[in-house]
Amino acid sequence: MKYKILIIEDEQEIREELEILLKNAGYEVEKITKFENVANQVIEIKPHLILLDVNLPGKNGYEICTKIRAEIETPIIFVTSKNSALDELNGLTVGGDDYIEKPYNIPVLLTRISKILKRAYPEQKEQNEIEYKGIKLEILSGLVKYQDKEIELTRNEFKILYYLFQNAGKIVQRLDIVEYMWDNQMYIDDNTLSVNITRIREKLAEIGIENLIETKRGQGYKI
Amino acid sequence: MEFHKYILQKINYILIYVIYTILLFTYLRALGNGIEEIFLIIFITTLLLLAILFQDFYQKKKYFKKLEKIIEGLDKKYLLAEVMEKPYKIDYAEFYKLLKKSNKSMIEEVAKLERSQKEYKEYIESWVHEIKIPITSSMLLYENNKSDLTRKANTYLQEINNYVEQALFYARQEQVANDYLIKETDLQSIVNNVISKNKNLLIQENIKLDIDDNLGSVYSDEKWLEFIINQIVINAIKYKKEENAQIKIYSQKDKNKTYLYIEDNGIGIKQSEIKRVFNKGFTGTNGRITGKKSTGIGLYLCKNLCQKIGVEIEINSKINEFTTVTIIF
Repeated sequence: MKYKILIIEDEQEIREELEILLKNAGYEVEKITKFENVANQVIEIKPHLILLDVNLPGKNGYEICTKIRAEIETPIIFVTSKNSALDELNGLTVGGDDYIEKPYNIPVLLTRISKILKRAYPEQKEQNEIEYKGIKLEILSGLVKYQDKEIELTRNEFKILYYLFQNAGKIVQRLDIVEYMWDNQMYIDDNTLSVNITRIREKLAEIGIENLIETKRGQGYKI
Repeated sequence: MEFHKYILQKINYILIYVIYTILLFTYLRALGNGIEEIFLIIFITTLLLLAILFQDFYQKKKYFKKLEKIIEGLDKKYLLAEVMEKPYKIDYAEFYKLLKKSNKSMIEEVAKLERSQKEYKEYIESWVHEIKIPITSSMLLYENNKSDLTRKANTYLQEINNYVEQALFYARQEQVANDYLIKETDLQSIVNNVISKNKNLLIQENIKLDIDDNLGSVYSDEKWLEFIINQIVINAIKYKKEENAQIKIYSQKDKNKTYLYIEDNGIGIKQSEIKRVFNKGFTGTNGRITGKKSTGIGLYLCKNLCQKIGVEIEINSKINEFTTVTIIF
């Protein structure tokens, strides 16, 4: 199931880019473009999570939050360029679940969204495996399964392969992988990446997977 | 006020009195009065004169002592005329009138400056909020359109953002007291945020990171702390050495304190300059190396903010070897 995220933001440019970003991250996205009766619109849309700007035309985000809270329990993340302690406190007292400052650090924003969703909907099972060309990656155990064989990867190796699986069919730049790893607090460099890719290839070969990861010279990798 | 100075000031009165006494003596003597009688008269008038002088001196001394006490207790000394009693003596009253006029003009001037400074600060704040909107849009644009070119632009964007933040925190440093929220703060997540912010630059500059995965938590204000750590990390990147640059972040806990260390193996700071790196505007030898763009503001702000949120900051370094900044909670 896809989570539905509602963006309440009056800056058109931010709204649209944020929509693309969240869609790329695998969420369904709804936006509010008319800032009258926002609370009613929200209740009609029934989102799983709301990204709420504080400075809006007409009513501000805090007032809207209070109104929404009177009706529904949907998690709300305040997003604002004001970052004083008072603003943060305001956000939390009216029932916001989190408070993120603009310009947001995008990986941090995505992490917080997924954390809050997990907390708010614990009954939703997370996707535990990802499959491509008959190869299964088991996220919790870090195992790769192929036919009736399996092999364990290290945390770094698994994360790299997982990223390639997520972008299956596309050429992935080396730097994109490095950045993705950094976003997950694994601070590897270009050389370490090469070493890891070699090890992944060796391990995959052990369970009979040959030539899965193609090297595209000067561009990156592709599966 | 000292007595001999007072007497010296009254010397004209005393001279007139002496001349008058000589004249009186000659006159009374000419009338045929005895020396003893004349001396008695002179003795009495001299006594009277001394009594008047003493009384005047003590009264003045007492009065000024009282004023001194008032001024000592005053936070803003230029408010003296506002709090002192109006003197009843005519000569003091004239002084009082002038002082009051002068103080009033001072008060107006100060109020005018305060107002304009406040307006300027508010303008900076609102300017920062405004500029954060296009910065946010641009960062999202980069995230949605990654390429070598946009990656480079994003590094510059991050640099712009750092300067914008510095301006905001500089404008705010006087108001830290009304703008902080002490709560249990996870050092790991702050450090991760800072690293994430500078990710592009760190990768581009090929800096190796060694970050303890158990930094622990402290009671502090997250926002100010993140700003401080960010400044230190930016410095570590700026003053890195060319080969095998590394940044190490680790923490240590003893009975009542937590120490957070941010250590680099960069170009280091001269021993003779290390005491001054927290001074405002100090750029030093490193700051003059071309391309380093040192402003002398970053560490100054760090020190100042640390004092305000009640943590200590220390710096240690050996030239060409390392620099360690320690934050002590």
